[in-house]
Amino acid sequence: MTAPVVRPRVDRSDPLIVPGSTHHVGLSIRGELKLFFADGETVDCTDVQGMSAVRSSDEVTIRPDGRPTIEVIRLMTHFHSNETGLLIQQNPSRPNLGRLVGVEPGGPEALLPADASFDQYLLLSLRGRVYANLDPLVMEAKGITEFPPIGVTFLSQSATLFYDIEDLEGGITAREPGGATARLALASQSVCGSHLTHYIDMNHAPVS
Amino acid sequence: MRLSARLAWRIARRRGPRPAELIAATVSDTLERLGPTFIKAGQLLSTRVDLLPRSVCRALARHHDQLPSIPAEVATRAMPADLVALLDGAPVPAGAGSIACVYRAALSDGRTVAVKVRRPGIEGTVRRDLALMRAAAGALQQLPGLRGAPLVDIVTQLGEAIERQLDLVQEAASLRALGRNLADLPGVRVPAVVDTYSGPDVLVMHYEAGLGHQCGPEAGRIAALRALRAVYQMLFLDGFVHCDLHPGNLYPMPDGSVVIVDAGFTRRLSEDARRAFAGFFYQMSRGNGGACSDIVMSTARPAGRRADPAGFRAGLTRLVEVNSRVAVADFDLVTFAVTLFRLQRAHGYYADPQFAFPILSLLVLEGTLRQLCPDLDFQIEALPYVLRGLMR
Repeated sequence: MTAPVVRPRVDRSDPLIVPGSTHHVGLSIRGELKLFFADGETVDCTDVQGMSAVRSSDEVTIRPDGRPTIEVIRLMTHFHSNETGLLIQQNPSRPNLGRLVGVEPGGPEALLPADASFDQYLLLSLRGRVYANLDPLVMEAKGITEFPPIGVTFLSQSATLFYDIEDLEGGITAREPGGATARLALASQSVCGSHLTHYIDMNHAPVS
Repeated sequence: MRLSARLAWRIARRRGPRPAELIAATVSDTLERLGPTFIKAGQLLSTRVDLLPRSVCRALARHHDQLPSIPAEVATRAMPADLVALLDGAPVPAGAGSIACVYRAALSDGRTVAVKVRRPGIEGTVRRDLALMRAAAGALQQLPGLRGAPLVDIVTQLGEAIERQLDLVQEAASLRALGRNLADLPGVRVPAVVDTYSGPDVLVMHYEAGLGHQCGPEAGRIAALRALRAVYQMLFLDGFVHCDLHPGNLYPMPDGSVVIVDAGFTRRLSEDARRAFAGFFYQMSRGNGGACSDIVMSTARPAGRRADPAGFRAGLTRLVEVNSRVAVADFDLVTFAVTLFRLQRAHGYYADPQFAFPILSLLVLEGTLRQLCPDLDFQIEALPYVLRGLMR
């Protein structure tokens, strides 16, 4: 007979857990996600899910308007769609930075609730080709009250163009398109978001 | 001189209407008296919110040419003999403009065709009037208050547009190009040209029956959507644009299809302009006001010493950023475009026609489609076309 696993309960609405934290979460795309190809084809991706990891800085700074802010870096992004074969990963050649900004003025204790946003540089793999974006894919959530904000959907408000890395001088390290033309676009004609489904505890096995 | 005297008299006697409305009404009235070239110029100017205040454009837009048709026997004399030989009865007037008239004609082989006939003598009248307009614009541009204003350029643009409408061979080519480009869009029709009988004075097309028939709200909504997609394809993908899609040139049909007629006022965009236009909307969707400013600045023309690039850039960046925060349903294309053009004028810039015409064509279209489908979402529907326009 083994003793039940007892884990310390973490208050994820405590703003002071944000600085210096690392977390992994499960993700699921909510709403409509479409891939528009240059030749007119449109691929609907309805079953996209995956996971991500985020680390927050140790340092909290105060903005001129008095609100606290902290940088966050996306360590890992992985999405896949079984139906279409689409694979979305983070471009390892550039940082995927984000920021939390407290809604109210104050110090670190005012880091939650917060507005959060990430600039994402991704690699899309589909049908044997790999595509990279040069303008960031911006994901945003307003007024998050927990960290990580489980149950919150980060929304992308705009379309993003992707280039075949074979067309880019420098491949995945390219920063400008040069003479390349975008080959596909990731976009939504309604609402598209990345929903944080659950927290993944990397230090403990799930309770059976 | 006559115009300014009449204007001064009206303003002096002003009781109700504001000066802008008086100016507009007087200009409109005067254009009508001056004849077909000026009427046509007024119609074209009514769409140029990039050049004129909106109140003036509205007043000019009220003014449509309602001229009598050329008598059928006179029109028939202008038709080629092999077409006349096929006529099964006299052609029936179907529409009359300042440049040309349209007739429905039954042919003995069972076909029904639409025959557009240029008004006799119109070419000389237009060329003479345009020469007068250019001379007047050149003289006015020397006046101290108007130095730097591109009056000659504006008249040249108007002149080109009017002369293009005189050229029915050119219009036939435009109709064919539109028909080819839109062939794959379901429910969008452009009358096919009957080449055999068409020439410089006469344009013969397949007759589209039922134009102007009432269609239900659902059919109207579907037709509006199809028309919008057709125009987005013209603007963002083909770079060949019908610039005059007012209700007399765009017909929703009871089955939800849409018929586009009269390709007399079309514009071919350069590849750079087409990409710049698509790029502007892409960057706008991303709220990137700086990138939008770069695109517009690269196409706009400074008006001499009045040009204020820093002020224009700052104003445009702010305009784009404010609009990118507006919910899609609340975005007002007309207000946005009018503000953009007003910013240009205020900071001493004039829009390049290659950039202005696509926006102007959208404004004309918006007025037409809002009547059919008030909640049509121009932004959402644009997205796939903007993106594909950048992927070409």
